[in-house]
Amino acid sequence: MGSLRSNNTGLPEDGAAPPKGRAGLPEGRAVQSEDAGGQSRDVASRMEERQLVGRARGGDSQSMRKLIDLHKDRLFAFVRRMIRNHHDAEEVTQDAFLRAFASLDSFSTEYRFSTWLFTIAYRLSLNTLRKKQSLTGEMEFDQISAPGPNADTTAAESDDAKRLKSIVWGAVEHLSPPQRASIVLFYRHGHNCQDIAQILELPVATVKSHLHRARMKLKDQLQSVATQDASSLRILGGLAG
Amino acid sequence: MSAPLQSRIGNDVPLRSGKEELAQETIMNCEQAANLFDAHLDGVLSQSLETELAAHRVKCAMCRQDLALLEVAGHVIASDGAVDDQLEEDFTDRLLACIDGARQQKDTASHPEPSFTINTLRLGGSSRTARLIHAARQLRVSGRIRGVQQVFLSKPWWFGGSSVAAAAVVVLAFKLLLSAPQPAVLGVKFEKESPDPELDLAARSLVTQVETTLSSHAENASSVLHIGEMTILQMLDQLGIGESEATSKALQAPSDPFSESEGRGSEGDEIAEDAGSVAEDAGGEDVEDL
Repeated sequence: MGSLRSNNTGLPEDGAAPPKGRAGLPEGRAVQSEDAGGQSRDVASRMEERQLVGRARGGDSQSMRKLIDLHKDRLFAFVRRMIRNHHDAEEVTQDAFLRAFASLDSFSTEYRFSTWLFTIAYRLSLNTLRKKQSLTGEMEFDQISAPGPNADTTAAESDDAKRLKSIVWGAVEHLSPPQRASIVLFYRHGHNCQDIAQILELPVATVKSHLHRARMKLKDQLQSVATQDASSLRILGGLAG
Repeated sequence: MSAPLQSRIGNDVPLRSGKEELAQETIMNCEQAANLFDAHLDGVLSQSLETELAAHRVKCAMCRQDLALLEVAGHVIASDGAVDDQLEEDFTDRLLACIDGARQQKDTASHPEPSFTINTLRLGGSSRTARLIHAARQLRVSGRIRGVQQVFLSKPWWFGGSSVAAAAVVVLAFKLLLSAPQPAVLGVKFEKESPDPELDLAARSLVTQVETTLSSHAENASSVLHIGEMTILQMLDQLGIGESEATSKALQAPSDPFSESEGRGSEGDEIAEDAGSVAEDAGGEDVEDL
Protein backbone atom coordinates (compact mmCIF):
# COMPACT_ATOMS: atom_id res chain seq x y z
CA MET A 1 0.00 0.00 0.00
CA GLY A 2 1.35 3.39 -0.93
CA SER A 3 2.21 6.13 1.39
CA LEU A 4 -0.59 8.32 2.58
CA ARG A 5 1.28 11.43 1.55
CA SER A 6 2.30 10.53 -1.91
CA ASN A 7 0.82 9.29 -5.10
CA ASN A 8 2.12 8.22 -8.42
CA THR A 9 2.14 11.77 -9.70
CA GLY A 10 4.91 12.91 -7.42
CA LEU A 11 2.83 15.54 -5.74
CA PRO A 12 1.61 15.10 -2.18
CA GLU A 13 -2.02 14.35 -1.78
CA ASP A 14 -2.85 17.08 0.63
CA GLY A 15 -1.57 20.26 2.04
CA ALA A 16 -0.88 20.84 5.67
CA ALA A 17 1.16 18.42 7.67
CA PRO A 18 -0.93 15.63 9.11
CA PRO A 19 -0.61 14.41 12.65
CA LYS A 20 2.53 12.62 13.64
CA GLY A 21 0.84 9.23 13.69
CA ARG A 22 -2.63 7.79 13.84
CA ALA A 23 -3.86 4.90 15.84
CA GLY A 24 -5.73 2.35 13.87
CA LEU A 25 -4.14 3.08 10.53
CA PRO A 26 -2.55 0.13 8.81
CA GLU A 27 1.16 0.04 8.48
CA GLY A 28 2.32 1.93 5.45
CA ARG A 29 -0.59 4.31 5.64
CA ALA A 30 0.73 5.67 8.88
CA VAL A 31 1.51 9.32 8.47
CA GLN A 32 5.06 10.12 7.63
CA SER A 33 7.10 12.05 10.08
CA GLU A 34 7.88 15.55 8.93
CA ASP A 35 11.56 15.09 8.38
CA ALA A 36 13.65 17.59 6.44
CA GLY A 37 13.36 15.52 3.27
CA GLY A 38 9.61 15.40 3.50
CA GLN A 39 9.40 19.14 4.00
CA SER A 40 11.64 19.94 1.06
CA ARG A 41 9.65 17.57 -1.14
CA ASP A 42 6.49 19.30 -0.04
CA VAL A 43 7.93 22.73 -0.80
CA ALA A 44 9.07 21.54 -4.23
CA SER A 45 5.72 20.03 -5.04
CA ARG A 46 3.90 23.15 -3.92
CA MET A 47 6.11 25.20 -6.19
CA GLU A 48 5.36 22.85 -9.04
CA GLU A 49 1.67 23.11 -8.26
CA ARG A 50 1.85 26.91 -8.26
CA GLN A 51 3.56 26.83 -11.62
CA LEU A 52 0.90 24.52 -13.00
CA VAL A 53 -1.86 26.73 -11.66
CA GLY A 54 -0.14 29.80 -13.09
CA ARG A 55 0.10 28.23 -16.52
CA ALA A 56 -3.46 26.92 -16.34
CA ARG A 57 -4.56 30.47 -15.56
CA GLY A 58 -3.03 31.51 -18.84
CA GLY A 59 -5.10 28.87 -20.58
CA ASP A 60 -2.40 26.21 -20.96
CA SER A 61 -4.37 23.03 -21.50
CA GLN A 62 -1.41 20.74 -20.76
CA SER A 63 -1.13 22.21 -17.27
CA MET A 64 -4.87 21.82 -16.83
CA ARG A 65 -4.59 18.21 -17.90
CA LYS A 66 -1.83 17.62 -15.38
CA LEU A 67 -3.81 19.22 -12.58
CA ILE A 68 -6.86 17.16 -13.47
CA ASP A 69 -4.87 13.93 -13.60
CA LEU A 70 -3.24 14.75 -10.28
CA HIS A 71 -6.47 15.17 -8.39
CA LYS A 72 -9.33 13.53 -10.23
CA ASP A 73 -9.22 10.09 -8.64
CA ARG A 74 -9.04 11.27 -5.06
CA LEU A 75 -11.66 13.93 -5.66
CA PHE A 76 -14.01 11.45 -7.26
CA ALA A 77 -13.46 8.94 -4.45
CA PHE A 78 -14.41 11.60 -1.93
CA VAL A 79 -17.46 12.79 -3.83
CA ARG A 80 -18.52 9.19 -4.46
CA ARG A 81 -18.48 8.60 -0.71
CA MET A 82 -20.50 11.74 -0.15
CA ILE A 83 -23.30 11.24 -2.63
CA ARG A 84 -23.26 7.46 -3.12
CA ASN A 85 -24.11 7.44 -6.77
CA HIS A 86 -21.51 6.90 -9.46
CA HIS A 87 -23.14 9.01 -12.15
CA ASP A 88 -23.88 11.93 -9.85
CA ALA A 89 -20.40 11.72 -8.36
CA GLU A 90 -18.80 11.90 -11.78
CA GLU A 91 -20.93 14.90 -12.65
CA VAL A 92 -20.06 16.68 -9.42
CA THR A 93 -16.36 15.91 -9.90
CA GLN A 94 -16.49 17.35 -13.40
CA ASP A 95 -18.42 20.38 -12.23
CA ALA A 96 -15.92 20.98 -9.43
CA PHE A 97 -13.05 21.06 -11.91
CA LEU A 98 -15.00 23.28 -14.29
CA ARG A 99 -15.77 25.76 -11.55
CA ALA A 100 -12.23 25.66 -10.24
CA PHE A 101 -10.72 26.41 -13.64
CA ALA A 102 -13.35 29.03 -14.40
CA SER A 103 -12.40 30.96 -11.29
CA LEU A 104 -8.67 30.28 -11.18
CA ASP A 105 -8.06 34.01 -11.09
CA SER A 106 -9.60 34.19 -7.64
CA PHE A 107 -7.59 31.25 -6.33
CA SER A 108 -4.91 32.16 -3.83
CA THR A 109 -1.77 30.07 -4.10
CA GLU A 110 -1.39 30.35 -0.34
CA TYR A 111 -3.73 27.39 -0.28
CA ARG A 112 -3.33 24.02 -1.85
CA PHE A 113 -5.15 23.55 -5.11
CA SER A 114 -6.44 20.23 -3.80
CA THR A 115 -7.95 21.86 -0.72
CA TRP A 116 -9.73 24.36 -2.91
CA LEU A 117 -10.99 21.64 -5.21
CA PHE A 118 -12.28 19.57 -2.31
CA THR A 119 -14.06 22.61 -0.88
CA ILE A 120 -15.85 23.21 -4.17
CA ALA A 121 -16.67 19.52 -4.50
CA TYR A 122 -18.00 19.36 -0.96
CA ARG A 123 -20.34 22.30 -1.55
CA LEU A 124 -21.55 20.76 -4.79
CA SER A 125 -22.05 17.42 -3.07
CA LEU A 126 -24.19 19.03 -0.39
CA ASN A 127 -26.25 20.74 -3.09
CA THR A 128 -26.78 17.43 -4.86
CA LEU A 129 -27.78 15.74 -1.62
CA ARG A 130 -30.23 18.53 -0.84
CA LYS A 131 -31.77 18.27 -4.28
CA LYS A 132 -32.15 14.52 -3.92
CA GLN A 133 -33.61 14.91 -0.48
CA SER A 134 -36.14 17.44 -1.70
CA LEU A 135 -37.09 15.20 -4.58
CA THR A 136 -37.44 11.97 -2.64
CA GLY A 137 -38.30 13.38 0.76
CA GLU A 138 -35.61 11.27 2.30
CA MET A 139 -32.08 10.21 1.77
CA GLU A 140 -31.50 7.46 -0.68
CA PHE A 141 -30.61 4.78 1.73
CA ASP A 142 -31.19 2.12 -0.85
CA GLN A 143 -27.93 3.23 -2.40
CA ILE A 144 -25.90 3.28 0.73
CA SER A 145 -24.51 -0.18 0.63
CA ALA A 146 -20.86 -0.06 -0.16
CA PRO A 147 -20.02 -0.59 -3.80
CA GLY A 148 -19.01 -4.13 -4.47
CA PRO A 149 -15.34 -4.76 -3.93
CA ASN A 150 -13.56 -6.09 -6.96
CA ALA A 151 -12.73 -9.75 -7.20
CA ASP A 152 -8.96 -9.32 -7.09
CA THR A 153 -9.05 -7.64 -3.74
CA THR A 154 -11.60 -9.85 -2.15
CA ALA A 155 -10.29 -13.16 -3.34
CA ALA A 156 -8.11 -13.61 -0.29
CA GLU A 157 -10.61 -12.16 2.15
CA SER A 158 -12.60 -14.27 4.50
CA ASP A 159 -16.32 -13.88 4.78
CA ASP A 160 -15.78 -12.34 8.20
CA ALA A 161 -13.48 -9.67 6.83
CA LYS A 162 -15.93 -8.87 4.05
CA ARG A 163 -18.70 -8.61 6.56
CA LEU A 164 -16.64 -6.31 8.75
CA LYS A 165 -16.00 -3.96 5.83
CA SER A 166 -19.64 -4.00 4.94
CA ILE A 167 -20.60 -3.07 8.49
CA VAL A 168 -18.08 -0.25 8.71
CA TRP A 169 -18.92 1.27 5.34
CA GLY A 170 -22.60 0.81 5.98
CA ALA A 171 -22.19 2.77 9.20
CA VAL A 172 -20.20 5.46 7.37
CA GLU A 173 -23.01 5.88 4.88
CA HIS A 174 -25.45 6.54 7.72
CA LEU A 175 -23.42 9.42 9.10
CA SER A 176 -24.54 12.98 8.49
CA PRO A 177 -22.82 14.66 5.52
CA PRO A 178 -20.34 16.69 7.59
CA GLN A 179 -19.59 13.68 9.79
CA ARG A 180 -19.13 11.47 6.77
CA ALA A 181 -16.95 14.06 5.05
CA SER A 182 -14.83 14.47 8.18
CA ILE A 183 -14.29 10.77 8.70
CA VAL A 184 -13.55 10.04 5.04
CA LEU A 185 -11.19 12.98 4.67
CA PHE A 186 -9.42 12.05 7.88
CA TYR A 187 -8.95 8.34 7.39
CA ARG A 188 -9.21 7.82 3.68
CA HIS A 189 -7.48 10.94 2.42
CA GLY A 190 -5.12 11.56 5.32
CA HIS A 191 -6.18 15.13 6.02
CA ASN A 192 -5.75 16.53 9.49
CA CYS A 193 -8.41 18.52 11.33
CA GLN A 194 -7.05 21.86 10.09
CA ASP A 195 -7.25 20.72 6.46
CA ILE A 196 -10.72 19.34 6.95
CA ALA A 197 -11.84 22.58 8.59
CA GLN A 198 -10.66 24.47 5.50
CA ILE A 199 -12.36 22.08 3.12
CA LEU A 200 -15.66 22.01 4.98
CA GLU A 201 -15.39 25.70 5.84
CA LEU A 202 -16.02 24.98 9.49
CA PRO A 203 -14.14 25.83 12.68
CA VAL A 204 -11.56 23.24 13.69
CA ALA A 205 -13.44 22.61 16.94
CA THR A 206 -16.57 21.77 14.95
CA VAL A 207 -14.64 19.34 12.80
CA LYS A 208 -13.27 17.66 15.90
CA SER A 209 -16.78 17.39 17.21
CA HIS A 210 -17.96 15.83 13.92
CA LEU A 211 -15.08 13.38 14.01
CA HIS A 212 -15.82 12.45 17.61
CA ARG A 213 -19.50 11.86 16.96
CA ALA A 214 -18.77 9.94 13.81
CA ARG A 215 -16.37 7.69 15.65
CA MET A 216 -18.88 7.07 18.41
CA LYS A 217 -21.53 6.11 15.87
CA LEU A 218 -19.16 3.76 14.10
CA LYS A 219 -18.12 2.22 17.38
CA ASP A 220 -21.71 1.77 18.51
CA GLN A 221 -22.62 0.17 15.22
CA LEU A 222 -19.70 -2.23 15.39
CA GLN A 223 -20.41 -2.95 19.03
CA SER A 224 -24.03 -3.83 18.40
CA VAL A 225 -23.00 -6.24 15.68
CA ALA A 226 -20.12 -7.64 17.66
CA THR A 227 -22.25 -8.47 20.66
CA GLN A 228 -24.52 -10.52 18.39
CA ASP A 229 -21.72 -12.24 16.61
CA ALA A 230 -18.82 -13.94 18.32
CA SER A 231 -16.89 -14.26 15.07
CA SER A 232 -16.89 -10.50 14.62
CA LEU A 233 -15.32 -10.13 18.00
CA ARG A 234 -12.57 -12.49 16.93
CA ILE A 235 -11.88 -10.39 13.83
CA LEU A 236 -11.90 -7.18 15.81
CA GLY A 237 -9.53 -8.66 18.33
CA GLY A 238 -7.21 -9.78 15.56
CA LEU A 239 -7.21 -6.46 13.70
CA ALA A 240 -6.76 -4.41 16.81
CA GLY A 241 -3.78 -6.52 17.79
CA MET B 1 3.33 14.07 36.48
CA SER B 2 1.66 16.87 38.30
CA ALA B 3 0.64 18.92 35.31
CA PRO B 4 -3.09 19.18 34.63
CA LEU B 5 -4.38 16.85 31.96
CA GLN B 6 -5.32 19.77 29.67
CA SER B 7 -1.85 21.20 29.63
CA ARG B 8 -0.22 17.85 29.02
CA ILE B 9 -2.13 16.99 25.90
CA GLY B 10 -2.05 20.44 24.40
CA ASN B 11 -4.76 22.89 23.51
CA ASP B 12 -5.82 21.00 20.41
CA VAL B 13 -6.98 17.96 22.31
CA PRO B 14 -10.65 18.08 23.21
CA LEU B 15 -11.65 17.05 26.66
CA ARG B 16 -15.13 16.26 27.73
CA SER B 17 -14.51 18.07 31.00
CA GLY B 18 -11.97 20.81 31.23
CA LYS B 19 -12.09 20.70 34.98
CA GLU B 20 -10.64 17.25 35.28
CA GLU B 21 -7.10 16.94 36.39
CA LEU B 22 -4.91 13.97 36.64
CA ALA B 23 -2.80 13.88 39.74
CA GLN B 24 0.57 12.25 39.53
CA GLU B 25 -0.38 9.29 41.62
CA THR B 26 -3.90 8.87 40.27
CA ILE B 27 -4.57 5.85 38.14
CA MET B 28 -6.48 6.78 35.01
CA ASN B 29 -10.16 5.87 35.24
CA CYS B 30 -12.39 4.92 32.32
CA GLU B 31 -13.87 8.38 31.86
CA GLN B 32 -10.47 9.99 31.76
CA ALA B 33 -9.27 7.34 29.35
CA ALA B 34 -12.26 7.88 27.09
CA ASN B 35 -11.48 11.59 27.04
CA LEU B 36 -8.16 10.74 25.43
CA PHE B 37 -9.49 8.44 22.73
CA ASP B 38 -9.85 11.14 20.07
CA ALA B 39 -6.42 12.58 20.74
CA HIS B 40 -5.01 9.07 20.61
CA LEU B 41 -6.74 8.34 17.32
CA ASP B 42 -5.71 11.72 15.89
CA GLY B 43 -2.13 10.97 16.82
CA VAL B 44 -1.70 14.12 18.87
CA LEU B 45 -1.44 12.57 22.34
CA SER B 46 1.84 13.09 24.15
CA GLN B 47 4.08 10.08 24.64
CA SER B 48 3.52 10.01 28.38
CA LEU B 49 -0.26 10.02 28.05
CA GLU B 50 -0.06 7.39 25.34
CA THR B 51 1.76 5.22 27.83
CA GLU B 52 -0.80 5.86 30.53
CA LEU B 53 -3.63 5.13 28.16
CA ALA B 54 -1.92 1.92 27.12
CA ALA B 55 -1.54 0.95 30.77
CA HIS B 56 -5.24 1.56 31.35
CA ARG B 57 -6.07 -0.39 28.27
CA VAL B 58 -4.21 -3.42 29.47
CA LYS B 59 -6.18 -3.42 32.68
CA CYS B 60 -9.64 -2.45 31.42
CA ALA B 61 -11.46 -4.85 29.10
CA MET B 62 -14.22 -2.33 28.32
CA CYS B 63 -11.87 0.45 27.20
CA ARG B 64 -9.77 -2.12 25.36
CA GLN B 65 -12.78 -3.13 23.32
CA ASP B 66 -13.92 0.44 22.71
CA LEU B 67 -10.53 1.43 21.42
CA ALA B 68 -10.29 -1.73 19.35
CA LEU B 69 -13.61 -0.92 17.68
CA LEU B 70 -12.57 2.66 16.99
CA GLU B 71 -9.22 1.59 15.60
CA VAL B 72 -10.75 -1.11 13.46
CA ALA B 73 -13.22 1.35 11.95
CA GLY B 74 -10.39 3.70 11.05
CA HIS B 75 -8.35 0.80 9.72
CA VAL B 76 -11.11 -0.35 7.40
CA ILE B 77 -11.87 3.15 6.09
CA ALA B 78 -8.21 3.91 5.51
CA SER B 79 -7.22 0.65 3.91
CA ASP B 80 -10.16 -0.66 1.96
CA GLY B 81 -9.27 0.63 -1.46
CA ALA B 82 -11.56 -1.82 -3.20
CA VAL B 83 -14.65 0.19 -2.43
CA ASP B 84 -13.74 3.15 -4.58
CA ASP B 85 -15.26 3.30 -8.02
CA GLN B 86 -13.14 4.45 -10.90
CA LEU B 87 -13.75 7.34 -13.22
CA GLU B 88 -14.20 6.64 -16.89
CA GLU B 89 -10.90 6.52 -18.75
CA ASP B 90 -11.75 9.46 -20.97
CA PHE B 91 -12.77 11.67 -18.05
CA THR B 92 -9.85 14.09 -18.50
CA ASP B 93 -10.41 14.43 -22.23
CA ARG B 94 -14.09 15.08 -21.79
CA LEU B 95 -13.44 17.57 -19.03
CA LEU B 96 -10.88 19.47 -21.10
CA ALA B 97 -13.35 19.61 -23.97
CA CYS B 98 -15.93 21.09 -21.59
CA ILE B 99 -13.40 23.62 -20.30
CA ASP B 100 -12.57 24.60 -23.86
CA GLY B 101 -16.24 25.01 -24.71
CA ALA B 102 -16.87 27.02 -21.57
CA ARG B 103 -13.91 29.24 -22.37
CA GLN B 104 -15.21 29.95 -25.85
CA GLN B 105 -18.63 30.78 -24.46
CA LYS B 106 -17.03 33.05 -21.92
CA ASP B 107 -14.98 34.77 -24.61
CA THR B 108 -18.12 35.48 -26.56
CA ALA B 109 -20.11 36.53 -23.52
CA SER B 110 -17.30 38.71 -22.28
CA HIS B 111 -17.77 41.04 -25.21
CA PRO B 112 -21.03 42.73 -24.32
CA GLU B 113 -19.56 45.72 -26.10
CA PRO B 114 -18.69 44.21 -29.47
CA SER B 115 -15.24 44.75 -30.81
CA PHE B 116 -16.69 45.87 -34.10
CA THR B 117 -20.24 46.92 -34.14
CA ILE B 118 -22.76 47.85 -36.69
CA ASN B 119 -25.32 48.05 -34.00
CA THR B 120 -27.15 51.03 -35.27
CA LEU B 121 -27.63 49.82 -38.77
CA ARG B 122 -31.34 50.08 -39.22
CA LEU B 123 -33.75 49.85 -42.00
CA GLY B 124 -36.27 52.57 -41.77
CA GLY B 125 -36.92 56.16 -42.55
CA SER B 126 -36.15 57.99 -45.73
CA SER B 127 -32.48 57.28 -45.76
CA ARG B 128 -32.66 53.59 -44.99
CA THR B 129 -31.18 52.52 -48.28
CA ALA B 130 -28.42 55.00 -47.97
CA ARG B 131 -27.62 53.72 -44.54
CA LEU B 132 -27.38 50.18 -45.70
CA ILE B 133 -25.30 51.08 -48.70
CA HIS B 134 -23.03 53.18 -46.62
CA ALA B 135 -22.59 50.42 -44.13
CA ALA B 136 -21.65 48.09 -46.94
CA ARG B 137 -19.22 50.63 -48.28
CA GLN B 138 -17.64 51.02 -44.92
CA LEU B 139 -16.77 47.38 -45.01
CA ARG B 140 -15.32 47.62 -48.46
CA VAL B 141 -13.18 50.69 -48.10
CA SER B 142 -9.65 49.69 -48.88
CA GLY B 143 -7.08 50.16 -46.21
CA ARG B 144 -9.77 49.41 -43.71
CA ILE B 145 -10.33 45.96 -44.97
CA ARG B 146 -7.10 44.73 -43.45
CA GLY B 147 -8.28 46.01 -40.12
CA VAL B 148 -11.57 44.26 -40.65
CA GLN B 149 -9.83 41.01 -41.35
CA GLN B 150 -7.60 41.28 -38.31
CA VAL B 151 -10.52 42.05 -36.10
CA PHE B 152 -12.55 39.38 -37.72
CA LEU B 153 -10.03 36.68 -37.03
CA SER B 154 -9.06 37.73 -33.56
CA LYS B 155 -12.23 38.92 -31.94
CA PRO B 156 -15.90 38.13 -32.07
CA TRP B 157 -17.97 40.21 -34.40
CA TRP B 158 -21.36 41.41 -33.52
CA PHE B 159 -23.89 42.61 -35.96
CA GLY B 160 -26.94 44.35 -34.78
CA GLY B 161 -29.89 46.15 -36.22
CA SER B 162 -32.91 44.66 -37.77
CA SER B 163 -32.74 41.06 -38.86
CA VAL B 164 -32.57 41.78 -42.58
CA ALA B 165 -29.99 44.51 -42.13
CA ALA B 166 -27.87 42.29 -39.95
CA ALA B 167 -28.17 39.44 -42.42
CA ALA B 168 -27.13 41.76 -45.25
CA VAL B 169 -23.97 42.81 -43.50
CA VAL B 170 -23.16 39.29 -42.38
CA VAL B 171 -23.38 38.03 -45.94
CA LEU B 172 -21.30 40.86 -47.28
CA ALA B 173 -18.67 40.64 -44.58
CA PHE B 174 -18.24 36.93 -44.97
CA LYS B 175 -18.06 37.26 -48.71
CA LEU B 176 -15.20 39.67 -48.28
CA LEU B 177 -13.47 37.37 -45.89
CA LEU B 178 -14.15 34.08 -47.55
CA SER B 179 -10.47 33.40 -47.94
CA ALA B 180 -9.87 33.77 -44.22
CA PRO B 181 -7.82 30.86 -42.96
CA GLN B 182 -9.98 30.39 -39.89
CA PRO B 183 -13.60 31.05 -39.24
CA ALA B 184 -14.31 33.99 -37.04
CA VAL B 185 -16.56 33.93 -34.02
CA LEU B 186 -19.77 35.57 -35.04
CA GLY B 187 -22.29 37.19 -32.81
CA VAL B 188 -25.45 38.51 -34.32
CA LYS B 189 -27.70 40.60 -32.21
CA PHE B 190 -31.03 41.30 -33.80
CA GLU B 191 -32.20 44.47 -32.20
CA LYS B 192 -35.57 44.43 -33.78
CA GLU B 193 -37.61 42.35 -36.09
CA SER B 194 -38.05 43.24 -39.69
CA PRO B 195 -41.57 44.42 -40.46
CA ASP B 196 -42.44 41.29 -42.39
CA PRO B 197 -42.46 38.22 -40.15
CA GLU B 198 -41.59 35.92 -43.04
CA LEU B 199 -38.65 38.05 -44.03
CA ASP B 200 -37.56 38.25 -40.46
CA LEU B 201 -37.55 34.51 -40.19
CA ALA B 202 -35.75 34.15 -43.51
CA ALA B 203 -33.09 36.65 -42.50
CA ARG B 204 -32.42 34.91 -39.22
CA SER B 205 -32.29 31.57 -40.93
CA LEU B 206 -29.91 32.97 -43.54
CA VAL B 207 -27.54 34.25 -40.89
CA THR B 208 -27.57 30.86 -39.19
CA GLN B 209 -26.91 29.13 -42.47
CA VAL B 210 -24.02 31.41 -43.36
CA GLU B 211 -22.58 31.12 -39.91
CA THR B 212 -22.78 27.33 -39.91
CA THR B 213 -21.35 27.03 -43.38
CA LEU B 214 -18.40 29.25 -42.69
CA SER B 215 -17.60 27.93 -39.27
CA SER B 216 -17.27 24.44 -40.68
CA HIS B 217 -15.18 25.60 -43.65
CA ALA B 218 -17.64 23.98 -45.95
CA GLU B 219 -16.61 23.84 -49.57
CA ASN B 220 -19.85 25.37 -50.67
CA ALA B 221 -19.34 28.54 -48.64
CA SER B 222 -18.99 30.59 -51.77
CA SER B 223 -22.25 29.44 -53.25
CA VAL B 224 -24.03 29.84 -49.93
CA LEU B 225 -22.83 33.41 -49.76
CA HIS B 226 -23.87 34.07 -53.33
CA ILE B 227 -27.32 32.71 -52.63
CA GLY B 228 -27.34 34.72 -49.44
CA GLU B 229 -26.51 37.87 -51.33
CA MET B 230 -29.31 37.28 -53.80
CA THR B 231 -31.70 36.54 -50.97
CA ILE B 232 -30.85 39.78 -49.27
CA LEU B 233 -31.42 41.74 -52.43
CA GLN B 234 -34.80 40.08 -52.88
CA MET B 235 -35.66 40.87 -49.31
CA LEU B 236 -34.77 44.49 -49.76
CA ASP B 237 -36.89 44.63 -52.88
CA GLN B 238 -39.74 42.99 -51.09
CA LEU B 239 -39.44 45.54 -48.34
CA GLY B 240 -39.52 48.24 -50.96
CA ILE B 241 -36.20 49.57 -49.89
CA GLY B 242 -34.39 51.73 -52.41
CA GLU B 243 -33.20 50.87 -55.83
CA SER B 244 -32.20 47.31 -56.36
CA GLU B 245 -29.44 48.35 -58.69
CA ALA B 246 -27.79 50.66 -56.22
CA THR B 247 -28.11 48.19 -53.43
CA SER B 248 -26.77 45.43 -55.57
CA LYS B 249 -23.81 47.55 -56.54
CA ALA B 250 -23.11 48.39 -52.98
CA LEU B 251 -23.28 44.81 -51.90
CA GLN B 252 -20.92 43.58 -54.55
CA ALA B 253 -17.61 42.68 -53.06
CA PRO B 254 -14.55 44.10 -54.79
CA SER B 255 -12.50 41.63 -56.80
CA ASP B 256 -9.62 42.15 -54.42
CA PRO B 257 -11.05 43.18 -51.13
CA PHE B 258 -7.62 43.81 -49.66
CA SER B 259 -6.31 46.05 -52.40
CA GLU B 260 -5.31 49.59 -51.58
CA SER B 261 -6.89 50.96 -54.74
CA GLU B 262 -10.23 51.86 -53.31
CA GLY B 263 -10.50 54.76 -51.02
CA ARG B 264 -13.37 56.04 -49.04
CA GLY B 265 -15.21 57.31 -52.02
CA SER B 266 -16.90 60.57 -52.27
CA GLU B 267 -20.08 58.78 -53.16
CA GLY B 268 -20.06 57.18 -49.78
CA ASP B 269 -19.55 60.50 -48.14
CA GLU B 270 -22.38 62.00 -50.08
CA ILE B 271 -24.61 59.21 -49.03
CA ALA B 272 -23.43 59.65 -45.49
CA GLU B 273 -24.32 63.26 -45.68
CA ASP B 274 -27.66 62.38 -47.08
CA ALA B 275 -28.25 59.79 -44.45
CA GLY B 276 -27.47 61.98 -41.54
CA SER B 277 -25.57 60.20 -38.84
CA VAL B 278 -24.48 57.40 -41.06
CA ALA B 279 -20.87 57.31 -39.96
CA GLU B 280 -21.98 56.73 -36.45
CA ASP B 281 -24.54 54.20 -37.57
CA ALA B 282 -22.18 52.17 -39.64
CA GLY B 283 -19.47 52.01 -37.06
CA GLY B 284 -16.85 51.77 -39.77
CA GLU B 285 -14.63 54.21 -37.98
CA ASP B 286 -13.95 51.61 -35.38
CA VAL B 287 -12.24 49.37 -37.84
CA GLU B 288 -9.06 51.33 -38.20
CA ASP B 289 -8.68 51.70 -34.49
CA LEU B 290 -9.03 48.02 -33.96
